[in-house]
Amino acid sequence: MSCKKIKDILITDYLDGELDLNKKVLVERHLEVCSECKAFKEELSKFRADIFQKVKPVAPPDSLWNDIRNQLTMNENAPSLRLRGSVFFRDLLRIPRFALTFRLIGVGVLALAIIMVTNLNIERDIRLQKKDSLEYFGALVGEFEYNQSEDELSYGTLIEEYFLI
Amino acid sequence: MATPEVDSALIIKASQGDIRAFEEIYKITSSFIYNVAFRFARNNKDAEEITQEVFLRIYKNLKSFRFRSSFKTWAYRITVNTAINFKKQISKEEDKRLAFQSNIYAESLNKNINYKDEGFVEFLLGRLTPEQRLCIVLREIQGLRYKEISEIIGININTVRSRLKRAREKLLALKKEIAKDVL
Repeated sequence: MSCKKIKDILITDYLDGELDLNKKVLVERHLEVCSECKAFKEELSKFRADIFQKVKPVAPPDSLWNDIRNQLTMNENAPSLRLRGSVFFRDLLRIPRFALTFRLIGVGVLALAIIMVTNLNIERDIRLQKKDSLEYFGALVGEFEYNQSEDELSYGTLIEEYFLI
Repeated sequence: MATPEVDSALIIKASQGDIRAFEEIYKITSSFIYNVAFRFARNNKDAEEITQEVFLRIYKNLKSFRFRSSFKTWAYRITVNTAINFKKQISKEEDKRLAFQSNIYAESLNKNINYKDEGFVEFLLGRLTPEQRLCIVLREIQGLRYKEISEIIGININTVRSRLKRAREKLLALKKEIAKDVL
């Protein structure tokens, strides 16, 4: 390994104890014979000891937890509309997958049934309207005659018949 | 500075709104979070603000924590993101003020240099890019492994390695420059 490569390892993995045993042995063999790399290693170790190993952790102030707890309590006591809305959608997403699938299938089947029934009614109305129109125009030109029996005889809706009679 | 892992029962309790359980989580993790915030913000007031924001976010998102990663890693990732966002929000004037303070500090160091002074560490960290500073803080001050750093920041291990390398080269050069001026 070249000195450049050794220095790259020294300044990172070797210094941080991230090197595997095989590579560590290779580096240390190099250090035994290369004074420049050995000096670099010592410089790094001294630098770390001088600068970072003496850094003391900073303690958070005692009042910090009280501030956080007060914020949490305030937020819980005043839930916004937006938050309630987001909770609804979040809860909707949390429904287990199989339950959600069954619900979606149910909604789909119901929607399909409504569409089919509506379509059938529309088709029946169109068919009846078509038949009536054909018979009416047929009667006008004298091709057809109304074959209405006495029972079927009608003058309009019930309310219209009431006023006619 | 190793911190113990947070018990999963405690997380579940806290996610259900148990404030005492959340206080326990605070006790376990606040030291790490406050220290990272402090090294990033470089003053107590901003470090407190960042820490407060981090804990509010943790509490709000506890229910969405799925135990796929360690809780510590998840909480520290929130810390790092909050600290970086906070740094972005600092105005240019504020940055200039801090840079000015660093220069004054460098001058004072030239007169009576003391590498062991903790203010010197702050001065050195201030000379790094935010990305380099973050890696150095997590490795040198918090003592995390490369894998942990990569998980927290969301970068691969080689990027952690190269950021540490560049940061250390810069710090060594800076130290030599100051030492040369003094001698």
